[in-house]
Amino acid sequence: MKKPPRFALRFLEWFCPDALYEGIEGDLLEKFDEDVSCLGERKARRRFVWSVIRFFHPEIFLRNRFSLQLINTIMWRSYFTITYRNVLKNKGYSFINIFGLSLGIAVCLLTYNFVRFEQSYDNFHPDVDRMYRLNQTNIWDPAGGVFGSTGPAVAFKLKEDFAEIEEILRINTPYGKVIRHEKPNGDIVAFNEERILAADSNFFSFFDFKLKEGDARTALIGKDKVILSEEAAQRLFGNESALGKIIQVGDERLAVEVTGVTAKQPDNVHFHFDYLLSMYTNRNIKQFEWSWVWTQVVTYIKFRPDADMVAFHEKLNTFADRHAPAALKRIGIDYEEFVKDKGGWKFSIQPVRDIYLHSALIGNRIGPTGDIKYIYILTIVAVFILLIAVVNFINLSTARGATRAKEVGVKKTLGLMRNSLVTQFQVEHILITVVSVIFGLVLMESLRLMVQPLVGINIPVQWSLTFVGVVLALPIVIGFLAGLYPSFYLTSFNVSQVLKGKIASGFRSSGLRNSLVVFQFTISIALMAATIIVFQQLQYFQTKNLGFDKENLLVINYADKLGNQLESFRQEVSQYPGVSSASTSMDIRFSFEDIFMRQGDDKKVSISQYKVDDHFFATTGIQLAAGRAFEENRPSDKNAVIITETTARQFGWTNEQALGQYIVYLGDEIGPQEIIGVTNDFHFQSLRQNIAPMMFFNVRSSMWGDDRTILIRYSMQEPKELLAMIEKEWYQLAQDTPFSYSFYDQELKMQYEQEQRLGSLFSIFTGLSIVIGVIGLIGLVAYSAEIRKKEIGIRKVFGASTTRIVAMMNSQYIKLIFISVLLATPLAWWFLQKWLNSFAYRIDISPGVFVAAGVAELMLAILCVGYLSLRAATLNPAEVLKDE
Amino acid sequence: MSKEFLGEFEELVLTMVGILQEDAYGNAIVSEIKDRVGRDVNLSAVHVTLYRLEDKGLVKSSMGGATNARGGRRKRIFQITNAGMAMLRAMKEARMDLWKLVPQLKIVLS
Repeated sequence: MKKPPRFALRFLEWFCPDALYEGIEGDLLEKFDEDVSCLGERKARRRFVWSVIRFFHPEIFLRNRFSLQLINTIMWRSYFTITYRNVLKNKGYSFINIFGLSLGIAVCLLTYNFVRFEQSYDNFHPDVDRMYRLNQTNIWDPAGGVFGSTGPAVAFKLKEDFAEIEEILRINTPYGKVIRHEKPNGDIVAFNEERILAADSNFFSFFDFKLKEGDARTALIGKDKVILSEEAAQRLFGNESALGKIIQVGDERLAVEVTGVTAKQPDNVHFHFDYLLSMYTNRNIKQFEWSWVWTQVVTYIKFRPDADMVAFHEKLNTFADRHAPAALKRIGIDYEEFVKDKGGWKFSIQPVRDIYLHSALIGNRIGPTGDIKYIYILTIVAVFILLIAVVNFINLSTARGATRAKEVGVKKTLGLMRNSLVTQFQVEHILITVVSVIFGLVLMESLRLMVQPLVGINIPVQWSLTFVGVVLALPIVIGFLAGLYPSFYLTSFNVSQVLKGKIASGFRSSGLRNSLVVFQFTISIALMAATIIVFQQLQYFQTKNLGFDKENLLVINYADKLGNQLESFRQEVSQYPGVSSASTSMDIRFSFEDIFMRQGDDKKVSISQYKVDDHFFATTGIQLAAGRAFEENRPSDKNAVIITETTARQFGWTNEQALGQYIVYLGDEIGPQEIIGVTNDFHFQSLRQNIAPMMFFNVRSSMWGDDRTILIRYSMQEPKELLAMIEKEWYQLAQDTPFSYSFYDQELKMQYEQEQRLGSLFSIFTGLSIVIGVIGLIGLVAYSAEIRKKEIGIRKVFGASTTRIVAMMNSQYIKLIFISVLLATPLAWWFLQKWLNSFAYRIDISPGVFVAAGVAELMLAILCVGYLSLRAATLNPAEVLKDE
Repeated sequence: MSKEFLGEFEELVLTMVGILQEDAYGNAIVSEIKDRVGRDVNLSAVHVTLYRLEDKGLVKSSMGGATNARGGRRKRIFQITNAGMAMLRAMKEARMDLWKLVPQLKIVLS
């Protein structure tokens, strides 16, 4: 007897359902025997295998799987059908549910993506867990505090003292410079570049930046080397290779060789650069390498994987005490006295990962910082908006419980188990949420495109595993929560009671529903109040009297590049039509702090000093409270200073007392400076901070400070032509030095960008929360109008007026909104006061804001609800009551 | 006619089940089709079709008695149901009705 191939039979046995197996195998064996006798064994075996494979057919191998689960499939199919029918039957409610939920989900997912991005800063460095920034006591602030800069010498002592450290990196900030490149044909391209850094040669082994061109290990070794960013290389050299090219850095036109170009730098790093010089290209580094007070570098530490952090912190605590005194002695400063008011000189470390979000007070001298506070606020708001939407969902499904209770009664009568009923409600709610999530993703995308330009932030959507997880988990969690009440409460009734209609009447005044409505309105009123306050604060920033005239003030940057032609340029410009005055001064948008003493006393004060010319006060409009401004024809003004009111207070003078006093500079020998004037305080910098003490030296003074800007006060609306004239004049005098200007009021606005963003985001979120809340309310009122149709009919028959009925329908919701205002006020007040406290100059919260928000919300609700109740009240009672 | 339709191959297999009576099982149907219509059909196709017909309620099946042939495996015998007969009849009549509408003699006038 010939045997067919074993493996084919096994395969058949594996996929073939048991019920069919015997019949099929028999037929195949019979055919095999026949083939053996007609065609021979080999051919028969081949045909057998082929036939078995032909049996591997979905209708064969899927057969028993389905039939075994037949009952379940039918039930599931019925759940889906019932959900589908319910959604279609109540199109209005389904729309409210799905639309509200999608909006809430969209906001939530968008916020999730934003927060994830903000938290992902610097995560891409492989050793990020071992990387820290060295912070220290802010030795320049009389009050102490912490900042993220150190002197260049600190790194060496660290390396000597701590075996725990694997690698140390210093990054220096040489600040903006003109970068030039001379093309082979003699043309010069020049740019004012801001993002210039200098770093030790181990930069690329410390941070994980990739080079597109050049060798990362050697690129920054030695003097006069530079790595360009992709964009900078494109700017300077177009599509040519940058490697080996020479660029000229700064006014001294230092020739520096390009040794590398970075690949596109990731967005989520706490600093970006266009030019990365090798450390000693900045000649100041060598000069100050011994210094602990030349705090122009940021020091980064990478620890060994096995570092003992406890021991490290212990040793770090006394680090400054051990080394700083010697360094200070070199410049004649006594350590004890220097640190006295600051509570000691302490070093600390901060994970590199935390620099971006957790440096609100510490600062980051080489890049922008975010603020974890805003991340928290945003997350809370987004979650609240989702909650508002979920509340709609819950409210509508409980409100409609009366109708569904009958369905449950009938089903129970027909013998459905409670289990299946619970499953059915849950499936229904989860399915609706699934649909909402799908719409939500679409809405998220459109919301993202809308929000990005409005708030000026980029929100990349990453389909990471966690994001997919969140997307998948959302419907299950939300659907389950929203479905809890109907699925367990509704199914618990006695059938006979439900069918007699006894349960239904109990649904109307649900305490649960009312408290949820109050919850919704509390949130949206609080959000609305917050939006109003944020905008009020912004308005305050923009309209507060700054102590000088910020409008029509043009700033020409880098004017010191004009060299000895600066004054003739200024004179030329001040003659232009429409220019009322022009002045040369150091850039008063920045701080140039140093330490000063008054004569005959050893009280030291840290004061920001600016050298200004004789036209400065006339041009800016800064008022003098006492004394006089600099005057052209008084040579003695070379050794005179003008101080601000705040500075006078710091020294303990009144404005009048200050006149004629002398101030001594502790650095170079420039002699005592007579105070000839005291100005009113003014805000040239951000209103976030208190006014710092300032003083003005004459531009002819031998005090340090070569930086110059020209301030131009103009009178026309459109200074376009003026700008063109100034630019032409500039290039005549400065040739290849780029012309750069800014309008002061525009620049001022940019300082409040973060608040501006917060304001825009809040208004979007508030708008959404109100929309979701109100459509939920509409749903509820529409439903109550529907089930109270008959009651209203009977009331009308007995003579109730339309007005009374409308009032009756509305009064309940008005009460709820009133309660919401009462709840929202203290809550929002507390949070907003905390936010406002972060500004030195702030508005007071007026209770009117909350009343306004409440009234606005109320009006909106009455408008929407009013229409529905009016419609219910004007129905003809005969129509409503005829079928009973 | 009912809403169910039969494909051409389904109708062929159903007819064979009707013809073979008690002896209608996979292999027998394959060889019957070969003998009577001269068409080579695949065993698995016949099986799949038979199960599908069973789902539609046009045939029913039962296991036949054990034999010594075919490795002692029993045959799955199919039997046409009343619904199956009605379906065959309806299809035949529908086709006859259509056939009658086709002109049998074609006179070409020139």
